Amino acid sequence: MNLIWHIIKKDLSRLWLGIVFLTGFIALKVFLIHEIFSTTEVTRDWSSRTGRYQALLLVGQWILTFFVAVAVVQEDPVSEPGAFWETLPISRRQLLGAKILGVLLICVIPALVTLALAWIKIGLPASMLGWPLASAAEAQLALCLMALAFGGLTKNSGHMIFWMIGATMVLAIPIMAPEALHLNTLGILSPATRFTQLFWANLACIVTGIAITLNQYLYPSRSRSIALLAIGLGLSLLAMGTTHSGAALLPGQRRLDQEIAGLPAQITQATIAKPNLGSDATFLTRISLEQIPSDMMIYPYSGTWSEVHSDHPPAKGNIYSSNVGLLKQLISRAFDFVPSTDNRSADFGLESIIPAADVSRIAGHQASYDFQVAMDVRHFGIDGQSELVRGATIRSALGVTEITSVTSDGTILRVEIDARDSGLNPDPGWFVGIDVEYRTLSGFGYALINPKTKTVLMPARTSSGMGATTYGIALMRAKLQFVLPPANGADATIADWRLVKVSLGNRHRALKSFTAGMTPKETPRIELDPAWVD
Amino acid sequence: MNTIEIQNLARRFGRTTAIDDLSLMVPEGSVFALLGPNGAGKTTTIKILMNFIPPTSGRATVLGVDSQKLGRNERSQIGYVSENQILPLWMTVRGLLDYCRPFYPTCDRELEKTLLRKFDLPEDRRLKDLSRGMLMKAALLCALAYRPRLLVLDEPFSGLDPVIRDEFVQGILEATELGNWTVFISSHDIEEVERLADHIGLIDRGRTKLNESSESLLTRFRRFEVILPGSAAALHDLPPAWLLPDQVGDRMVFVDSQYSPTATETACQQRYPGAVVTSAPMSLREIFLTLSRTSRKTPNGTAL
Repeated sequence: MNLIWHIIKKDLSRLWLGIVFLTGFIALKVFLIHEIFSTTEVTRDWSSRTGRYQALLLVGQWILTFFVAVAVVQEDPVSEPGAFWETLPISRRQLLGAKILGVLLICVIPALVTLALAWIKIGLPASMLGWPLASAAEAQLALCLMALAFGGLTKNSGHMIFWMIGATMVLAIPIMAPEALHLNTLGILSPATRFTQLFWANLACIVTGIAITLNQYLYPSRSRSIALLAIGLGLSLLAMGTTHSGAALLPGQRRLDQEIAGLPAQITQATIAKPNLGSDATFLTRISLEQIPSDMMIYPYSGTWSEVHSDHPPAKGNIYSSNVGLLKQLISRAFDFVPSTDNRSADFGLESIIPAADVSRIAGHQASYDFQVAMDVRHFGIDGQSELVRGATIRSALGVTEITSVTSDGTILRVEIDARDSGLNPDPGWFVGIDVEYRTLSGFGYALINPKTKTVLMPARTSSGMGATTYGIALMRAKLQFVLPPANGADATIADWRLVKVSLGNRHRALKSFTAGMTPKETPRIELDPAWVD
Repeated sequence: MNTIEIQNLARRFGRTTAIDDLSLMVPEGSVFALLGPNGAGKTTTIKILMNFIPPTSGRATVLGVDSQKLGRNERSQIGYVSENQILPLWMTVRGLLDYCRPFYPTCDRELEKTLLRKFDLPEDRRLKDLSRGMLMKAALLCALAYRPRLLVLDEPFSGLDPVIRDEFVQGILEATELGNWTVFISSHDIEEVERLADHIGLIDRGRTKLNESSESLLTRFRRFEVILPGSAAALHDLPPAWLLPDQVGDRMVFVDSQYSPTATETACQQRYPGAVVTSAPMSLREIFLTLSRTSRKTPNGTAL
């Protein structure tokens, strides 16, 4: 152990500048974003821009981590025989131990400590940092594993770049290639299948990384490492071609699938717009999903339909729906503003383009249709509320929201908020994911309620904000604008309103399949609901 | 007791055979020079001895242990300096010594100080700022300071200018006086090791050509000049031990590789009655050149 520590000390003294750069970069990243939020005028444009900056800074952090970790590994290279360490009385096992501990001490622990201190410094409660730090640790550890594998295979930067291409292939192609390679032949991929694919692909990458590392350190053979890399790539691709549901892997998924499958769904309207001569037609189906549980937020994101007993392949369509409407329903129900016996429904539209020639065959004819709609499902909850006054705060399980300004001109009420939240929130009873797509990422939203008039106001589309999320730490500044109802349009009534923060738990996905009979009608033009968004 | 024993060692890289059926013995306490032209397989042999690469077949033992099973204990008794050694160039000389010291329980601080003084190395200078000669000295100092039982030097003189080379040889000579270690040194030039070696191994094309003490070699090899009574051709049916025979007019020369004071001269008198036979001792360099040339003429010949 003394010798292992001796090697680590050598690496630390060699790469202290790397630690300084990495921790400095991370601290700068957090404070830069926070500073931008504190000093910049909140506009809609800034929101996307800060998101991009944040993403760029995060990628910068990852690249820096990767190359510092590679430097630790290549300080005592194992890719070529005759390195200095080989002349010393140290075993390969000891060297591997030193390198694993070295990258942890140089690339993981300082990064996590810096993140934690920076987050606390900008106002996040220490009690909220567990999950974000676990998420950050996962990313840093994955990078270090890749650095051990590919740093062990290479002896310098040129070599490294060559192998990075290999790494990119292993990591990226399995994620991106299935569409291009038509490995996924399902119309809409079942979330459990998608999860299974990512689970096995990720596992293949991790196992490949570990296998290459062990091979390079303990049983050195570059040709074997290349073979392992090829096998890893093959397994990843194979995993991405999986079509069987892996619901067994996801204890919560099966329950969710069953819950969604049990909800009644009906077609409320089906219209086909008359095409111009020679052009395609637009087919819009209005769907209502009913009896949605009061703690569940559902919004569809893609769908297909097909005629029962038809040879035609399922047609894909755009989904139009209103999250605001759904959220408003939930908030109203949560504060008992509507009778609890009301049937809560999610109404949305499925619009697709069909050939003009099919119009005469479909329009006016009663037929059964199969529908398949992929749903995003989130737990809903009231996270906190406060008076509508400047300086008031909402302290909730997710974080802290401070009201920085409240103004009203009688018709528009403007509320400025500054929020620091942890978007990572374990969702008990549901599954915890393994990657970006399925990790536990909570969201939150704001609304105004007036208990006297039992009114809920959702932010108008003129509201603006900017936010950035890294590892689930969400920083947000927003100017929320609410259009006051005429009866409450005086300054004196502002005190009646309260700002409510709602939490939308982890996003989960499920497929809703149902069969319904309908008689599509021809109309001059398709009418979309004004509240719907694409 | 032999510090190194190599038996029928072979190593192939794809279709290229680097060493083939190599056998050598390095006695304990000797300064053994492994000689051979460039590409003879010296570095490959050392890499196998140091367990940097495995042999394709055959066996090598170092300090009584199979080279492929060299453990920490054996490694801590082996010092290694190579022309291709990748040293941590960012370290200072002092840093390198400090780094290496904990690996070796037998490290002798006094010897380290003595060698540091003798080699005249600037302690606070980074290795990357040292000349090649100084760098090799630093590596040698690192290897010697813990009094290894075996010191392996792989082409240590390559690229050194004559002055530095001389200093380096002097350094090794002085160091060997300070400790009782076996030195295994590879080189392609006998001149470099002539002053050092008491045992010589010669390999060519991966095969052993010679493996014996310098003293025995110097005794065994002798250059002969024969002035023949006439100018008749005299180079047919010569004993195999007579190497590189040549004749110009009535003057014939050869090297006897099995010299004995009376036997060779008697043989000459019997073959060439009336000839005037003179002989002269040879330097190791001359012996090495003779053997190299002979080897080139008969590449698949057996050991001499």
